[in-house]
Amino acid sequence: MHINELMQFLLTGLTLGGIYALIALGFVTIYTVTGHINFTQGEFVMLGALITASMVKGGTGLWAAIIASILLVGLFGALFERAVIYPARNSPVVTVIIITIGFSVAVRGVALLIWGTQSYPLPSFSSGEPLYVLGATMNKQSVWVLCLSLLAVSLLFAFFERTVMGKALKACAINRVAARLMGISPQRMSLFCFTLSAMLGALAGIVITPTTTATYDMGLMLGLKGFVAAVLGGLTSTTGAVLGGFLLGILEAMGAGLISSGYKDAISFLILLLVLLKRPEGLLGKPDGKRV
Amino acid sequence: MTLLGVNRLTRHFGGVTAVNFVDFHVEQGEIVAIIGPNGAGKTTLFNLISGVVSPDSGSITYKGAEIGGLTPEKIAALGITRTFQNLQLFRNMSVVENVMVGAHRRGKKGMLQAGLRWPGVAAEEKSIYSRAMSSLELVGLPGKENYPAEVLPYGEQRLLEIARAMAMEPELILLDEPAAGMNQGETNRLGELVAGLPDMGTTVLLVEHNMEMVMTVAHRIVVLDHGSKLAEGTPEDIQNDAQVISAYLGEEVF
Amino acid sequence: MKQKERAKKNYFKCIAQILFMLMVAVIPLLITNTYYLGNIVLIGIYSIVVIGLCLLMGYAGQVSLGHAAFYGLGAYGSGLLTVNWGWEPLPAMLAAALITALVAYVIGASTLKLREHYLALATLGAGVIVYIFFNEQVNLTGGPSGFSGIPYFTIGGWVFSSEVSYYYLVWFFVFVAVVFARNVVDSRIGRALRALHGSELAAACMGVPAYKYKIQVFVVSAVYGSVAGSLYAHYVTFISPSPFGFQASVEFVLMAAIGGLASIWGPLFGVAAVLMLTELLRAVVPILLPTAGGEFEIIFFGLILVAVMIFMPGGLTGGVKDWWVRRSHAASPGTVTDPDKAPEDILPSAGSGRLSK
Repeated sequence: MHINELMQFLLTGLTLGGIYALIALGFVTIYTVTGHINFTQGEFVMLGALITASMVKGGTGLWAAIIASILLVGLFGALFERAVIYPARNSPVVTVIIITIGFSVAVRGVALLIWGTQSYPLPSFSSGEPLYVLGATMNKQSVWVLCLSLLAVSLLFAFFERTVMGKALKACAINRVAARLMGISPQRMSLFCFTLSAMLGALAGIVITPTTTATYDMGLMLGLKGFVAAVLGGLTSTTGAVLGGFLLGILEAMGAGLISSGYKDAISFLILLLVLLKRPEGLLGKPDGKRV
Repeated sequence: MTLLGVNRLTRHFGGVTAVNFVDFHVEQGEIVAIIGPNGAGKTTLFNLISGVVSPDSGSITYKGAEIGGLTPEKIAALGITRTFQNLQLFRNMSVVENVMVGAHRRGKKGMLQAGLRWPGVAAEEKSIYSRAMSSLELVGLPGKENYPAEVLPYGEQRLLEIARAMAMEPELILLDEPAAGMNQGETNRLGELVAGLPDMGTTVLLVEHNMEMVMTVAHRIVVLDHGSKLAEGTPEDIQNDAQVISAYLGEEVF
Repeated sequence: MKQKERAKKNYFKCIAQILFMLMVAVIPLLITNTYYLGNIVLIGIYSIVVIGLCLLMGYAGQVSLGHAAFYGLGAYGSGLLTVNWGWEPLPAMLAAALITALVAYVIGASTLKLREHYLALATLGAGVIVYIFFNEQVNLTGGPSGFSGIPYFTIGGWVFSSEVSYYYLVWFFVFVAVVFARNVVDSRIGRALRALHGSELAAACMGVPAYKYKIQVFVVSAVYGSVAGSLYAHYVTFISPSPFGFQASVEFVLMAAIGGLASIWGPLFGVAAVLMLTELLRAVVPILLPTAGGEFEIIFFGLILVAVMIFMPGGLTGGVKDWWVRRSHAASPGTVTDPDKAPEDILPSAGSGRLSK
């Protein structure tokens, strides 16, 4: 095994990992505040990617399209929360899981109607020669992916730690009833979380499109990978989600390169099953199995 | 014979010590009451004994064997069960079904046998049903077995909790404020019911705020305050104990 | 009086079962068109999967998003054992069920102690792995194009080659599946599982081994899927990965949800309703949306699933039952509502899943 090759897998993994981290952050934000897993997360990714690609194709400038698309998907997330999650807010967890699954299926179907099965490209955010890092190549888009995901993560951290709204969200995550007694409305927080997560998902979809192109069904797998990353990180920790994302990305790239690219997706889920089996609280989380 | 022994039992929640170095024991056939003001740690003590929470330190022994930190399910298998101060009925089920869950451990047949209606399954079901009916009779709820549990009046829901627990034929029952929300007549009948449990082979550990009932039925009383044991003795001792009276009982109770 | 009521209830149950058997027995005499009969065979096969799924969803409070994988393991297990190794169909079906049970046990044992999301996710992941396996192991499974030549089902010397004989075979299995599930639900184990919904804490304090029962239900429900898969393989005699993907898992959940989760007859209605809906959509949608491609019905499935879960969480059977109960309650004034119930309902105990469970 050549060291350059390993380095190449590592760089590919880091790029993938940045995407997974962004999606995982969406899961973690919603889960910590509302206690729900949003299986629609992947569709936010797909919508972000396809809307941007369509707008660029229609002649809109790249950055304008990106911003418009993120805002649109954020709005979509908010509508989704009001129309679908809010009416079911007192339902059992299983019901909400089924609801988000059902909704994601419907969204994917609508995307199929609008965009069809072909794939939509998006130009790289900046042109130019790829960079060479320790004998491996890294194209400019990968640099964008890494920088944008790190930027999003830092902004999110600042938001949770430095703003009143962020603190209120954290309070909600710790104790909903108490937060409500302090005048924080969990329902408003829920709305906010879904909007934020939708925007994070859209960003992830947009930055990956120049490398992979966008299709109507890209959301399913990306959403699942994001969830695996979130579980690896313990499901309630933003730091964990980011580390989980990168870890999963690297393991997957290595697995695809060293074992078989056909089994790339199977590898991620095998990792998931192993983690659930051996360390269900995630690599960073605290043990919190349901006491029976 | 000492049925339950609690030694230097301690449990913290964050910075609060809910139960602090508590020692006491329960003999077989006794009715022991635990009293104390709100926040004294009575419910935490019950949660520790029934396995709902684990102790930080100290020991809980049952018939000489350590049970601290076991799951509620394992502790129930040893013959200890409980009722809940904030009712924990199976609201989605009928009255008799609630009690039949209490008699669950009478059955030994597994899922395959149940699914295939193996010989013996029907007999087992019958025995569980009749055990549940006699338990309902014991607490005075016959004739209501087919009501949904949630439509019973509050006092009867409390009795249903006791019926469900008694259907397990426990050796030790923990009653958590069984008289809360009951009127005088109901409380009196409850007192008679509790007083009769030792004759049926069930030892009683009772948390209760109704002092009249405690003084009538309890053989011994343990007083808790701020998580620590303040006093222990017969009802007469406790009534005469100046410390207890100043800490908790006060004049209004008597 | 109590005994009498129980007897009456059992009596009705018996009548329902006999009526059901009569109906099943008579259908092939009335419907001779093999296309329709074939659809009813498929309804039977799907019903077996969905009955298992309903046991899991309604009684263990968990959802599996990978039941198509168990279904697929049964189909591929039976197919491979009979085609490649020349096994008889019946032992092949049992062996496939055993393998599926083992897979389910490993998944269940690791996730059923945790919150509900984890089983959903783990089954989804397992589903993806199994699907990839079917596609990638070209030497063994034929890859995406699948393999054919699966023999007809045989028991002893009897070959189920005609549509009608296969119909009876499948519906015999449906009947066994219903009776087994019914028996479990009516036993102390079914009661214990329902008790877990009411109060997991109280159930534990009564000595109910929640985790053990949840695993058992999950394994049973996976085996239902596997048996149905075996029946499918011997029916169509050709299998490829596509009917065992994620979309199929979602459709099973949809069928279960529409039929009603905590019910045993519901699945039959759910499956029939979804299949009829599919036919209807195939007829209607091209008229409304001429450009729509092949997978359009999934939009409606998704939306229906969402609507059912929000407005009719008990499904078709549950909805009818609720309406019936409300009607009969309105008629009898004797019901007392508990004044202490209200505050608990207002507190967000159910909504704050993370905190309450």
